[in-house]
Amino acid sequence: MPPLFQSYSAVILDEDAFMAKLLEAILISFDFEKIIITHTAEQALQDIKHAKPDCLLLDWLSMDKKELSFARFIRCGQESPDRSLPIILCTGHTDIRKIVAARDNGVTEIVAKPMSPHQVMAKLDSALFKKREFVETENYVGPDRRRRSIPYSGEERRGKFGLHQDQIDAIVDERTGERADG
Amino acid sequence: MVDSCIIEYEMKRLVGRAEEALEELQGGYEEQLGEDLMRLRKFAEEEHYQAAAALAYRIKGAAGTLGWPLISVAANFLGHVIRSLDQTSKGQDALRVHLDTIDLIYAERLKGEHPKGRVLVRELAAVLVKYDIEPGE
Repeated sequence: MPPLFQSYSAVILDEDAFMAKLLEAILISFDFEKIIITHTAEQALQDIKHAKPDCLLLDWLSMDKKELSFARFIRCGQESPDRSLPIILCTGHTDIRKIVAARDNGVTEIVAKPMSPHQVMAKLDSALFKKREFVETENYVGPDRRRRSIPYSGEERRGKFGLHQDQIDAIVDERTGERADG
Repeated sequence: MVDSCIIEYEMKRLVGRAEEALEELQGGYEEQLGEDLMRLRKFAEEEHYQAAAALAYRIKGAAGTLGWPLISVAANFLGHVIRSLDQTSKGQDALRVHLDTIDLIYAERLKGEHPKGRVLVRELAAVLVKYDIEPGE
């Protein structure tokens, strides 16, 4: 069998130790070589700097400004340890404004909680093996958001109390008119 | 060049292995879920709403991954109830109904997509409509 993730490493940033363990169990099953769990942004920065992981899975308790600020710092901060690091946001906060904000802060992929191994695999596959061009413009730094021309399918499909995974994917993939060449 | 079918097969194998790993965690989680639900009620009764919302969020994520999807949905609803709570009896009624329903689903061990549990969750959705509770931050 081809080794998929056997040489890959990940940092999991999660305030909740139990949820981090759940994600770790999934990554262990996927044969990740190294998994670092951390609970604070400061420690995560150190871990990213020293371990040079292949991806960051961000799963903070509350998806507020500090969470997105962390993703933004990775993308734009002068002290960022790796601006192009694939960031997978695992969140239960799936209202449309937050999903759009996450995308516009340069998050690579989004997994809606409750998460399944299938969803995590799909997002790892996309983030690590189907990398998009990295865009750096005045207003946006992150993976090209024009990945696929899947149109967002409309208001009627939006769950009132949170979007489903396919709806989130459509937003993350939505064409924005932004071009990598400026 | 590795055949894409082989990669796809390997991905499915790893997903299956992860699902088995999560199934092994389900047994231990049942007890923890019970403890979380007791804490959830205590937070709500003592009007520690921020803590209650945070715990509801955690239950939404963990329960849904570990075999209790209906409690996950109900906990998501509960989070919206808490965030829209305006201290009126209307909001308190909705809060109480949600807590009672979640406890009932747990007490009767209505795991997975149990039909009785689905009916209970549908009734919760109707409660949200009745009380005009909107998704909050």
